[in-house]
Order: sequence, then structure tokens, then C-alpha cells
Amino acid sequence: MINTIQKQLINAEINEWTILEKKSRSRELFFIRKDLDMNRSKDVSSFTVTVFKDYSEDCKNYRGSATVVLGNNMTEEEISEKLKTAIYSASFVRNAYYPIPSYANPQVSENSGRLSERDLMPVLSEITESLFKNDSHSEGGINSAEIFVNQYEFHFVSSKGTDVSYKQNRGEIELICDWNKADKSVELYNMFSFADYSPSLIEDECRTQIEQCRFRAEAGNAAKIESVNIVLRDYAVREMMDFYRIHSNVQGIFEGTARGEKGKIFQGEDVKGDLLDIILDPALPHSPFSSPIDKDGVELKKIQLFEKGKLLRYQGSQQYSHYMEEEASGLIPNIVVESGSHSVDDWKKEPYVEIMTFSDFQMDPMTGDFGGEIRLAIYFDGEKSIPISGASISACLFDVQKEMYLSKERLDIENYSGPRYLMFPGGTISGE
Amino acid sequence: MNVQISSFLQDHRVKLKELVSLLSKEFKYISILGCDSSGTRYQMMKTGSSINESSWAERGFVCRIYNGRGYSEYSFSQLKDIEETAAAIRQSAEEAVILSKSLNQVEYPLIEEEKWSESFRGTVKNSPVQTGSETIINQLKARMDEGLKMADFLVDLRVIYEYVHISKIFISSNKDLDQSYIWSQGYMFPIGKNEKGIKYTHKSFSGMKGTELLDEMQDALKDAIDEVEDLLNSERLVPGEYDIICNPAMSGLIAHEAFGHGVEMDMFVKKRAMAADYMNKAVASEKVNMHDGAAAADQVSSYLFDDEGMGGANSKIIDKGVLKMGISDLLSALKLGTKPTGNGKRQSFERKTYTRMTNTFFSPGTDSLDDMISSIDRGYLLENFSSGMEDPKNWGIQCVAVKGREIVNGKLTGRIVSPVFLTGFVPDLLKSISMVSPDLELSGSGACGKGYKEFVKTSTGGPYLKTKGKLA
Repeated sequence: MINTIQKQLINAEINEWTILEKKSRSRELFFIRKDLDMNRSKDVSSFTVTVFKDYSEDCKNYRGSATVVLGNNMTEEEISEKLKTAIYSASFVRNAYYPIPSYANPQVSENSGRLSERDLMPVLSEITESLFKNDSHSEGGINSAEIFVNQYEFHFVSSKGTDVSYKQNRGEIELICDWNKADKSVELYNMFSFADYSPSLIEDECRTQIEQCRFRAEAGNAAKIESVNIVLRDYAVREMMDFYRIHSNVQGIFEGTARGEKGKIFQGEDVKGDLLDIILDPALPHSPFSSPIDKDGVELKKIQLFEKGKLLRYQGSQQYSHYMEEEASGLIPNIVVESGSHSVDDWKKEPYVEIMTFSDFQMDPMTGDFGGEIRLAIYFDGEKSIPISGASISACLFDVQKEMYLSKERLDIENYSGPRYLMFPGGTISGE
Repeated sequence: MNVQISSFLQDHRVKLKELVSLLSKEFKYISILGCDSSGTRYQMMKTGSSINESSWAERGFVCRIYNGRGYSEYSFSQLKDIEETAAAIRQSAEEAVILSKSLNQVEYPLIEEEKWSESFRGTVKNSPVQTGSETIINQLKARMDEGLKMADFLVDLRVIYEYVHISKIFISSNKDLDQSYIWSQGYMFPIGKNEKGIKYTHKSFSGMKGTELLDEMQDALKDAIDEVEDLLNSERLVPGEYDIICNPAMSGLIAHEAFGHGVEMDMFVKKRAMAADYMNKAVASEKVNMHDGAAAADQVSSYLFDDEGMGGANSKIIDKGVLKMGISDLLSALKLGTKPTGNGKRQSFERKTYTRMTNTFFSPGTDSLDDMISSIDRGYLLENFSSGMEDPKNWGIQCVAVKGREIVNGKLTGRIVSPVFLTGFVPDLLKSISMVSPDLELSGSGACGKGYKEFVKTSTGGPYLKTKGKLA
């Protein structure tokens, strides 16, 4: 199929192009309580083709592009028709010229681990066993769960001679746990993914979530709490750290929507809390998003982004790096953050609110506004700890970042490796 | 013009019937959904433009079979050899049998279908293909250039138009259905900057339309830019409980998040929905009526049949404040012994069916917006939304409004707060609805997820509603 597409591109006199072939294979199990509700499998493939067209106007060079997705179920006539449409469309896209990346050494990146196995049924059985191992309480447990094991094979080729094949495996679990008391029944939602089967990861996620459900069933509605240390954790911390990647992105810098300045401390002057050290690592072992190249074909390498709070370099796509006259890092999916100066236990000696789970934590990538409804938090008033639910928090990271602290305790989830907890003082929890 | 169905699906119809016929000898139920959707997303921004295949595009098939206890599915993109595909489908059923040796399996009744053969073709005024990329991108550029001249504080004005041409075919022993239609959506994202920081907003447009949607986008340009100016001068809200008025977009979000997700009956099967305990009970004030259905409105989730081959309906969920019914996919209805409502939808042929909303909205009332504002001593008019999240089990709600306009002593003061998180217990919010305006606007831009995945097109809307809410 790739040869057919290449031949048609040559016939159409297209000199610059990229093709990304993606084959997806999956096995999926759906559970209600411990019972299997449905099983599914999948075997599909697609080809994403980008065509480039160059032209000059008023002594300026422009590069147009358009992207189409082709299927292995298309006839040669259909492929030709779609490519013609893309080539026609590309002539109306008016972007300043940028080169497409090249590295001519063909490369094959194999993937190991249990999720790579051809016969996924034994792996699915093991994942199922791990998932239900801690589901042993009479008052609650797993309400429903969905397990997906996806195997992806990618093949990227371009007119610049790039020829890279690589594989990704992604296990995904959607987990809903509940807890039932005589007068109250509550649930919590979780969705997580992983690159390899790890019994401890799955068992821990399940145990923690059931425990949090038990707490939520005991939680009362929060009163308004003002000027208190706020402890955020897990996915909320990841979202907040990702904000710093977004504000160092060349496209945002070029457009004026990102606020990073190379050589300057992003958190401002006189920072009282922890200064950030951030690395982008395209080969993070536990990440299901690890990849040797990005969608444009830029070879990805580990880069240091922030050191002691200072932005060392911009990062991002080939196109906007060229405009900014920066070396293109490519779009690196994984973020590694250095541990902070304190243990979470240090913060728990004073009154605090630790937000265990949000209804939906929202982190605005541009404005820095963040917040959400609290599904479960622990409030320590200096004497006792009580679970609370239903209140909400709303703040802005630009206000918070001058005094925020990262924990020594670490967390490896999905595309993130870094502090598990983040604390900032002076927060307000809305309540009744 | 009438929208034409995909020739790819038409060409495969005979083969699909052969496959169904072959496997019907082994399985008591088999159905195949074929999908062929294509579309293009055009984006214009200050620093460049792009034309890409729509992320809603798909081409492939999903087969569902009765494995003796329940249902198994196989998604595939290529149908070269019927025997080869039949073998893969058989394997899916065999895997269910293997799994049932170590796991209990939820037992479902056999799907009993009545004979139904029908076609649906949507219509649009202007075909996006005929309009062509040059005209579309030039129109977007004209909007952007015009807008950027209107305000010095604008950093960018992104203008997007996207259309999707959907074709689907559903074949089973008793059904032979096909449908084809086009929906379009458009966005304007003005981004402004001042000494306080960056703010942005969006105005969105959608419908079962072609490029005629581009004309509607022109009219909203000034409103969108004015809203960014409001946001740049906005303040943070003092958290508390307030009298609030929700504009139609915000009302739609409440209908969708507060109640729509709560009455998806696959949640009833899992005992995840508090709504199951409130059937035929008051859950809202008497002024509240709410509908959902592919046949309830003409918007981006209107269709003849859903992804399980069930006809679209118009379901009155809340009647004068009383919860009357839920919405349901086919398998959940089989399990619950209820009637399916044509709400079985997939993100694509590669994903499972769930109960999903279609066009969900509060019905209009008779109160004027002016009367609502003048009735409030201290509160906010909440406008537009950026996100929302459901909690069907506990009926918690989280809706994020782009902004709130302060109301003091029955008048808008001109003070703006942003962003505004609306939270609380759904029945408290709905029972507090005291005034409902005659307006009804539906919007279907964006995507609705189930949890954090399974994105599908839905539309939402409603009138202006006056109620009480916890804001932060």
C-alpha cells in the first residue's frame, strides 16, 4: 500500500510528502461487577498522508500542506482521488516555508513486554486477575471495568528518505468503584494506561480507588475553608506540570500565547517554593506514548527544558522551530519532573486540605486557571482529619507558582514521572 | 441538494449480506454496521493555516454476534475475503467461550428484530465539496482579517470550519438500512492579551448543514471579540450560593451533564445511576420539561437509525418536573426489559456501543430574560461554557461557564467574573428553577465523552433558566 501511495505521489509530481502507516490490533473485555459483559477484538489499519506544495509570492517562499487518511480498503482510483484533493487543498494553505525533517538511516524499534505477545488471551486473564485481587469487601468494590490491550505498529516514511518502523503497546483500564452504606452509595471513576503489564500497578490502583470510595461514603459536605494549605496529587499534579511544557512550546511562543522566555525563571522573581527541573524524555519506559519520532518525522531525543526554574530552551514542532530559528526537538510526549524539597508528611503537620480526586480537574493551558468540583478530599483542621466532598476550588497557576512545593514522593503514570504531590498555601475551598 | 451515500458501502452491500447469511447458520444473531465517513477541517490562524482530514472520518465495519450467552464484537477495516473475515468473527465468539470457563458471563436475551428496510438521505444547501477548499479557506481568512482589525488587544483569531459526510449501512437477517447526511461545525477563537494576562473565548456553530454555515459565522464576530475584552477585564468570583440565570448554551450543558448522562440506561444496568430510583418522581420544578432524541431536533445527532440499527426517537425525559423515562441502547434495554430508544452510539466502528445522548434540551417557557434579571437582588448571568462533567451515581454536577455577568438590585452592573465553576446536587439545582424563557437554541459543536473516552457528536440547548447555584 505504501508503494502504491508513493507511486501516485510521484505521478502527481509531489516532491515532498510523509506517510504514517498505523496498524491497530486489540482485545477488549467489559465487566459489570466481576462478570464479563462483552468481549471485543479489533484489526484495523490506516495511512496518514501529508502532501506539501511550495510556491513563491512577492519574493517570499511559502509551503502549503494538506493531510488525508487512506485505508487499506480503498481502490487505487479512490487513493488517487483523495490525493488529488489533498494536493489541490495544499495549494491554498499559506504558511511561511519550512523544511521537513530528514534522517536517512532506516530504523526499526522493537517493543518487548507482556503486551507485545501475539496471543493476548493469557495476558488478559492475568490483568483481570490483578484487577479483581483486592475487590474483596462486602460493602463495595469494582462496580464495572473495561480492559483494553492495544498493539500498534507504525511505519513512517518520507520523501526525505526517513524510514522508521516502531511499535507501541497500550493497556488501558477504565475502573469504576463504589461503596455502599445504609444511607449512602457513592462511586469514583478512574482511567489509566500503561506500556507493559504490571500486577502491582493494577492492584494498587484498584486498592486505592476502593479505599477512596470508602472515604467518600463517610465524607460530609464541606464548609467554606479559607487560607489553608492545599495539597494536590496524582493526575492533577501531572496536568499542572504539563502547563510548563505548553508554555515553552515554539508554536505558542511564536503566536504570542505562551509565556516562557528562554533564560528566565518562569515562576518569576523571589520564588519561595520549589524551582522546577523538567526533562522531556521520548523513551520513558513506562509510558505508552514513547516514540522514536514525532508526527512530522523529527527524531526525538531527551532534552532538559527547565533547570532550577530557568527555561533553557524552547521545544516543539519542526515548522515552528524553523520559524523561531531553534533546533527542533519535535513533539515529545513524556515529561519528567525532579522531586521537590519536602515529604508530603512535612506538610501534614499544619492544617491542610488534600484533594484526593476531582470530578474533572480542569487546567486551562493558556490562562493558567485551574480547579474543579471535589469528589473527595481530606481536611485536617490541626486536630482531626475528616473526609469532605462536594466543594470546589478555583485558582490560577500564575498566582500560585511563586510559592508551590513539590513532594519527594514520586509517581510514574502514563506520560509522567515526577512528584506525586504539590502543595500551595493560602488556598480557598468553596463550601456551604 | 440530497447527500449521496458512499459508493464503498453500496459496493460492499452484497458481500455484507453474504457474510451475514454465512454466519447466520452458526449464530442466532448477527449484524454488521458499515461506516464510511469523510470530511475536512479547515483552520485559519494569524501565523498560518491548515487543511486536514477530519478526525471524525472513518471507514470500516463492526460485526456483532450472539455467542450463546451474550454478545461478542469484531471491528475490521478490510473485507477482502468473506471466509477469512468469518473466521476472525468466529474467533471472537470462541474467545468468549474460553473466557466463560474462568469468568461468569452476563447473560442477555436474544435480539428479536422485526423486518425493516429503509434509507435516509440528508439535504444541505451548499455542498462543501462543490464549494471547494479555495473558497472555504478564503472565507475563513476574510473573517480572521476582519476580526483582527477590530481590536488591538487580539493576539490571534483562529477561525475553523469542519464538515463530515456520514454514510452508514446496517445489515442483519431482518434489517437492511442505510443513511447518509452531512453535518458541519465552525468555531471562532479570539485570543486577547493585556497587562493582566491572556484570555480567550469561543463562539461555535453547527448543524445538518454544508458551507451555508460559514455565513452564520460572520454575524457573531463582534460578539466573540467583545467577550474576550470582557474576560480581559474580568475578576475572580467570591465563592458562594447565588441566584443565577443560565444562557441557552449553559442551560444546554446542565441538561446534558446534570440529567442527560444521569438517564443513560446502561448506567441503570450497572446500578450507577441515581435516576433509576427517581422514576415517576419529581426531580425538578414544574416548569422543567426535557427531551432527548435523534428525532427530537434537527442537529448534529439526528439520524434515521442508531449504531445498533434501532430507529431514532423523541424521548420526553422530564415532564413538568417529573422524571418519566431514560434513554437506552439495545442491549441495556434487553437486560432491563425496557424499550430501546435509538440511543446506541459508537465513537467509531472501532469502539463499543454505549447508551449516548443525541439532541438533549430543556423545552422553552414563557418568562422573559428582562424579568429574570430584574427579579434578582444579587447574582450572576452565566454565559457559555468551557467544560462539564457528569456524576450519574451521586448526581453531583460540575459545569464551567466562560463568564458570569454580575446582577445587583435587578440590574446588570457591567462587572464580569471568570471562569465560573457551577457545582452542586442536580435535583437541588433543577428544583430551584423558577423562570424559563421562550428561547430555544441547540448547539452541537464539540464532542461528548463517556468518562474520559468514547467521544460522539451530541447537541444540547435550552432557554434562559433562572435558578440557584453554588459558584466558585
